Amino acid sequence: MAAPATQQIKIRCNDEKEFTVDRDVLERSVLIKNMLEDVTEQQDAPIPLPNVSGPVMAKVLEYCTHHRGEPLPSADTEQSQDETRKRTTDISEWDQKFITVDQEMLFEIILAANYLDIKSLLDVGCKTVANMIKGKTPEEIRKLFNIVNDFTPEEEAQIKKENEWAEDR
Amino acid sequence: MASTSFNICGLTLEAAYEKLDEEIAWLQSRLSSLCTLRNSLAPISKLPVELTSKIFAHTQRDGLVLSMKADLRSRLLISWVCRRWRDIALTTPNLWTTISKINKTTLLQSDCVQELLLRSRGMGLTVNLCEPSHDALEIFLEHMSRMKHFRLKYNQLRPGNQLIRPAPALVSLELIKVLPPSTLIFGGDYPHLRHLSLKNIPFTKFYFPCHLIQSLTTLRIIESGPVRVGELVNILPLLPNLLRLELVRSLSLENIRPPPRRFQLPSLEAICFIDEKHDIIFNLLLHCFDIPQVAVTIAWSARPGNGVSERHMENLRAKIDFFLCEANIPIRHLKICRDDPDYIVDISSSPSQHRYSFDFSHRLSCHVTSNWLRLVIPSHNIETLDINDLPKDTLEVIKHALYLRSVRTSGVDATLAFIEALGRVQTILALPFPSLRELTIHGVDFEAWHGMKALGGILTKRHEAGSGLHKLVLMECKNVDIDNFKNSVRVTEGI
Repeated sequence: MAAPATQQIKIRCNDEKEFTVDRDVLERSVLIKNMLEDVTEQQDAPIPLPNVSGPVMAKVLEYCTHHRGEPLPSADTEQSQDETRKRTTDISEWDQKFITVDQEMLFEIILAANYLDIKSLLDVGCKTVANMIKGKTPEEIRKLFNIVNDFTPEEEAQIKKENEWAEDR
Repeated sequence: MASTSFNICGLTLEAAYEKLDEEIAWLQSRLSSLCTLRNSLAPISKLPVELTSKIFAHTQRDGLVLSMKADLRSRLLISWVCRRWRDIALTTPNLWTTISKINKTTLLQSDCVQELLLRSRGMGLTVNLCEPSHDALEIFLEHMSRMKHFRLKYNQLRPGNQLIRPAPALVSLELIKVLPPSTLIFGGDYPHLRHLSLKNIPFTKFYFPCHLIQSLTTLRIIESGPVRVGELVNILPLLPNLLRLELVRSLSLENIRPPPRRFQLPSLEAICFIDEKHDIIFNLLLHCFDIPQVAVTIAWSARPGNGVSERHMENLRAKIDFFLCEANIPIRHLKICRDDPDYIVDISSSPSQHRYSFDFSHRLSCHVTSNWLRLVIPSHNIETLDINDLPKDTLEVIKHALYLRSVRTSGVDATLAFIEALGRVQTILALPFPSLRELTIHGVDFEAWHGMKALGGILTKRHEAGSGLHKLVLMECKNVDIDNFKNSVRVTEGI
């Protein structure tokens, strides 16, 4: 007996790019899942996603397809500090490879994950940026993210004082 | 350029300075604004505040053990990158809630401490203080109302000081060398306190208002001796939620006077004794507590040649044997361990049986291959026994196996040994192995062994006493005369 056909859902990005995707893949996004649950009758019109571009959505769908079928994280986002600590550097090999993209795409993926409410992808993105920051001096961080020092002299004075707090003497 | 259109001619020197300073400030402010505008174009600036804040929080939670100042620096430097990052960092309270490893040599300036506490904005605090100054300690004690995890090593408590204030959010408290000169450590209510660890605190002088900490689930008493067992016996039943008790080099050597009745500790799941005297451990468990289901860990951390003699181990072995046979405690797990991996060899004389822990179900099945049985098995809990090459005298220790239902013997010697044990009937009411219902004998030539009649007689007697076998299996045996068992009525199977 043939397996029951998976429902296909159409989505449209802000650059008019459309994707037709299996429903269970799309339902990794809590936003889309809720949208689909609110619609009782089958609609042919694509779901508009005005905050996501086609190329970014393609990456997001790559992630969702790879993780389809995995249990969704619970709504309770309050984790103990220990749990979070354990998970911080814990990015799977596939996820690490997936998230190895240029900075612009990385931040777009984080924004899309936040908008689409895909918690696991958001975590992967945030952890990746956190790992880029860790162990670097402020100057190295500025260089990495194309930022310049914009502190006023008053703020610089306060920072100098804070620097003394943390100096080994 | 600004300087070319800027005229200071005709001004007094003071006025010129003033005007120039104003112009510099304006330019610096303008420069700063332009830099901020430039920063807003950076891809990372597209992230909203809440996501940037989330990233910052992730940078801090890597579990690395840093010195206090390195730890502080790692948090501060995020706020030194640019104005936007600083604004976000300063309004991310989670970045500032952990204040750890403060000690005499790396004292934080009080304005720093105050600033960190301010930035944490009322969130739950995790604080680790090691011999802080009195003033520094006071600053933290003022924030006890939002303290979640508090570790304090301190030995300068002044008389009359009440160290711990009401702490409604406190989850774990670790006190080291806090010596209260006849004063209270505790004061107030601790409705969420789950974990309490006391190290180098004279437990006998320690005022322990159990009614204030009834939610306690873990109690660790480390080198806080001598803890009088009587005191412990009085305190523990007052902690109805206690799941785990750990005692490390703390119990006094006093003789225990058994209380009139055993105290109930219904929730207790684990007791851990580290380097405690075994006499005390066993007496405590035997006479003082009624523990329905408990995992017991007994560990000695002594290293080879460090005061643990063969005689000591012999004594220990006897004690454990006695304890396991006599104590009516359904032990689920007994762990005997030491730092030295050869320790088990020392006490077992059985190099092939290197094992560190034994997991027993209440009624266990056990394949016995050596005299390990003598050391560790709570024989009264054994349900099935496979006797293969078992030293004869070892059978002695299973004489209390009240629940032994099934035995399998292999070869003449093991079978003979078991039959002898089985036949050691003192009175008709005191049968060995009263629950025995199945016996399997494997590989015995009964012609060479004249015990078949004896076995038949024993089984008949057991049947008459109401403890007959349900099943007798003779596998690969020779010269079997089944008539010997015809009076063992309940025998239903013979091969």
